[in-house]
Amino acid sequence: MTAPVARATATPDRIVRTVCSPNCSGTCGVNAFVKDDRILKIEPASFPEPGWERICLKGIAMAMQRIDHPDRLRWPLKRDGPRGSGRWRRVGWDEALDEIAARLGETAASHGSRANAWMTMSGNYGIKACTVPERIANSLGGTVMSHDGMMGDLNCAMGFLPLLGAGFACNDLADLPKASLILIFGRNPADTDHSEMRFLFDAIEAGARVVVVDPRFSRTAAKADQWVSPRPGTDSALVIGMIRVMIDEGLIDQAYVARHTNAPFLVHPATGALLKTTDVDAAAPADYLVCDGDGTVRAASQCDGPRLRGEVPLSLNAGESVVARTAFDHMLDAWAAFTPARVAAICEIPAATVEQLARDYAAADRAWLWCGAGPQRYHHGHLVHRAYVTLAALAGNIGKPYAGVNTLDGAHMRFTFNAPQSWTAPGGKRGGHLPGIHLHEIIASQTPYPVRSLWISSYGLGTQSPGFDRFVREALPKLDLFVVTEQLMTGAAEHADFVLPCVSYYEEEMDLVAGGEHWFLQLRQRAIQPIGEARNDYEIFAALAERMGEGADWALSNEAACRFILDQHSDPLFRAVEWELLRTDGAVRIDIPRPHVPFGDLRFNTPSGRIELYTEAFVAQGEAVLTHKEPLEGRDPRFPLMLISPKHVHSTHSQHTMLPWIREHRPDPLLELNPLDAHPRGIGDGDEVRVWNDRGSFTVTASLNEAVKPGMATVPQGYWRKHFRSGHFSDLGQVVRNAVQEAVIETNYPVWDVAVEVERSGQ
Amino acid sequence: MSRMGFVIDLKRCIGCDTCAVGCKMENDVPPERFRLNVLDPHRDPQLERPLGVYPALSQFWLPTMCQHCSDAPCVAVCPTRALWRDDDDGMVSLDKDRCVGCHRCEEACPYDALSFADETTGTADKCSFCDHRLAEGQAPMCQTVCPTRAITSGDLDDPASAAAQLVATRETWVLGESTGARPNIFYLKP
Repeated sequence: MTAPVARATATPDRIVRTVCSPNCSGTCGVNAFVKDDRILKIEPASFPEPGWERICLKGIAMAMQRIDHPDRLRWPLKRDGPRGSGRWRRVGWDEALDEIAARLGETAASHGSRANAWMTMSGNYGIKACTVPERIANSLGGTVMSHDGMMGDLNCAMGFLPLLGAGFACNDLADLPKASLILIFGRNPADTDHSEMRFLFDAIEAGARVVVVDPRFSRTAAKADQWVSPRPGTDSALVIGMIRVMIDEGLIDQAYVARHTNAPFLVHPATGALLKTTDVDAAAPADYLVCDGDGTVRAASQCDGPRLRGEVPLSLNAGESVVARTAFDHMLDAWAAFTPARVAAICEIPAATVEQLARDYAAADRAWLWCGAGPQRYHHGHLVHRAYVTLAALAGNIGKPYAGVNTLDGAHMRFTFNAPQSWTAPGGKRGGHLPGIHLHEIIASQTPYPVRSLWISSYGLGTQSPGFDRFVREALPKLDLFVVTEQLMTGAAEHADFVLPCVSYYEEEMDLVAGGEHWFLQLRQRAIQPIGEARNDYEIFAALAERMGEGADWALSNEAACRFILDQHSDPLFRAVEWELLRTDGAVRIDIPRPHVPFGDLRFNTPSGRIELYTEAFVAQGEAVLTHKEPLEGRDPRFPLMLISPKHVHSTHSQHTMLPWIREHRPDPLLELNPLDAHPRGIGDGDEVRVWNDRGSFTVTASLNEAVKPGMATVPQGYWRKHFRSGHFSDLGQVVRNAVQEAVIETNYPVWDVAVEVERSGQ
Repeated sequence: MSRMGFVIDLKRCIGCDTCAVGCKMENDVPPERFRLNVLDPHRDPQLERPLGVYPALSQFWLPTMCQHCSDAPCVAVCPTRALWRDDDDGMVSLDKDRCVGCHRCEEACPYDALSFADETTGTADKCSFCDHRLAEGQAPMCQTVCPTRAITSGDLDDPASAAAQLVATRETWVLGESTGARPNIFYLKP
């Protein structure tokens, strides 16, 4: 008897270069080997530059097991029983879209067109998929529910934006080997950016020192020279402690700070406003005031060496006399209490570690600060990224090659966020816009205006947003129509009135995918025909628009739509991409200078043109200068454990946790507890435990693990409700409005600002 | 004459299991069976627990598969010569047509490298070094898909090969040295 011919080694009909692009910054180029309209296997595709060839277990499992997964949705379904009853009737596209269009029309007639809302997330990195929900909402005068805050990492941008005038910045990750110190704060690239880990290893081999700050001993921490584990939600205190040490020991770059930040600016002692030339001379050219070395007050632009410290008497217009101090003095006041000893107590780490980190960071020639989204998943999380910027600025590291303050950047952000308005708002039509972070509240209360239908796509609402149980209980009954476009019957889809099947990226006819953390624009093209009757998001909305009298704006083919977006793009770097080259090579690097040095010209898009360490706009909120604020939760003795839901290498959010090859390596979720927390609770390895707080509970198997800092528990992110014995960890989350965040963009979902208690189940 | 082997850099391995999944894809390995397993320091293929007690911890991952031993115990015990070591390339190969499913190789192998994956035929299964890919001038799939470039393969007897150079210049481990099997997977120390 001979062994069966291996599927992967069969001779393919064709090899299609496309792009793996769930919500993953890897955006790996993929060669799909196809025979008889079936994927035999995938391999890493080549890039115009060597070194970027990569795929991973998730991409492999997705291609081989999700596309034709037994649970794959193959045709439109209409609810045939109460919502959530699991009773469905197969319908044709015409029947589904005719009825949906009629009901959207009725809603618009009764409550105004804005009562129809669309919300998407980031489950699909194709630009058409990312932008067509906004496009259809605008086309039909409906409401776009933003997804920025609900995504849960908006604090990265909101920490950066007020200080730097830009929400994102990152060096080219291929330049990691040029750094001498890589200080990784709250980031776990070995799990979340594992495609880029090779560059980190290249850096280690080139002699870089790597420090990882993470409460949990992460996959990345295991590779570092040093691991520091602060108490969850206290990273900003640690950074301020480092800053304090640098200042006390004379380790800041005074010339840089004086010239490129607003630290020397003078502050009105009563109002907290930065004093302007016009405050002393109404006729003077507008500028900020500083005090030069001999005590003379000057316009900032006229002073080469302003003092960072000190006070000066000033006569303002209208006869007001004040003694003004520098912004830097105000910062020193705010940071005075953050001595190494106090920071050690706050963060539960040794004081000597705070001092050593500060000295190492200040001494490093090319200190690459690599900041993750973990520490910003708390109510005051914007302060953490503000702290990183402040630290890097005081060290003179912003705008310096192979140093800087790095969160996330790459072609994807620029491409998607700057999609042409002629695309997202066809014919200049505009609907409403509401902050999606308050989705539940807006629908439940029907304020600020009625929202009576909701259509979601590329969004695992049932696992990835806070309190889906409350959405079902409080918001869903207010909706006359709930439509979900999906590939699988997700938690949200189970409660929909219509579930519409969408293609995977191997079936999509064409889309454009810009690099999550690299600078390549790639062409996603069809490898196999759509499964069942699945369509892409553009095609679905085009068919809807036609029924609603707006079809003229939606008549483009998929290819024409891609070319339209590229040709009309607001960023010239994308307009410069040659379509034929993209068709031929599948990947084109946009023309970002090398090395890529964010803020290399030391010009900042802020009111002063400098790094605004002192942020006038937040005086009213008490955050004119950086400070540390404790998480909302963690002080109630009833709930002594902080619950973190880390991302992991085995799934991109909720997209891979159902795939057999993934589950062989990571089956159902485990709650990780340090033995010091488990033993007093009588919890042993493998015990079923109940995790709860005032908002909800879930039941899960416990795993005792020294990797977890005492005082916290972890549950891996991405698992569905059905993977838990009962409940889901997102039921324990909350959204509390944050005034500073609302002033910048919108409140961020503080995913980890959650304290819990754990007990053996059945007690 | 050559001696094909793998060199696996445990400093670079992040335990992501991509090699294991890529191997399953390339070689049609049945569910719940593996030609390649990535173990944690406690030799657990699923759990990932570090060594030590908080906060003094260390962690590494160990991809394991057929070690293509120079003195392969499986070859010695195979009653039907379904397993043999090829003198030309040094690889330990398996002819499933000759395998009678006696499991002696499984008992003899110090590395748990053999599984009996096919329940219909009952025959053994193990890493083939992706010899079908080597024949096409391609690297084994585990090496091709490794995102961190932790896996290198080549002729360990050829001093010019990348594999031999890594072995010559880095500190290495072999597994189960005391068994005398003379395995040909060299692990660069974590």
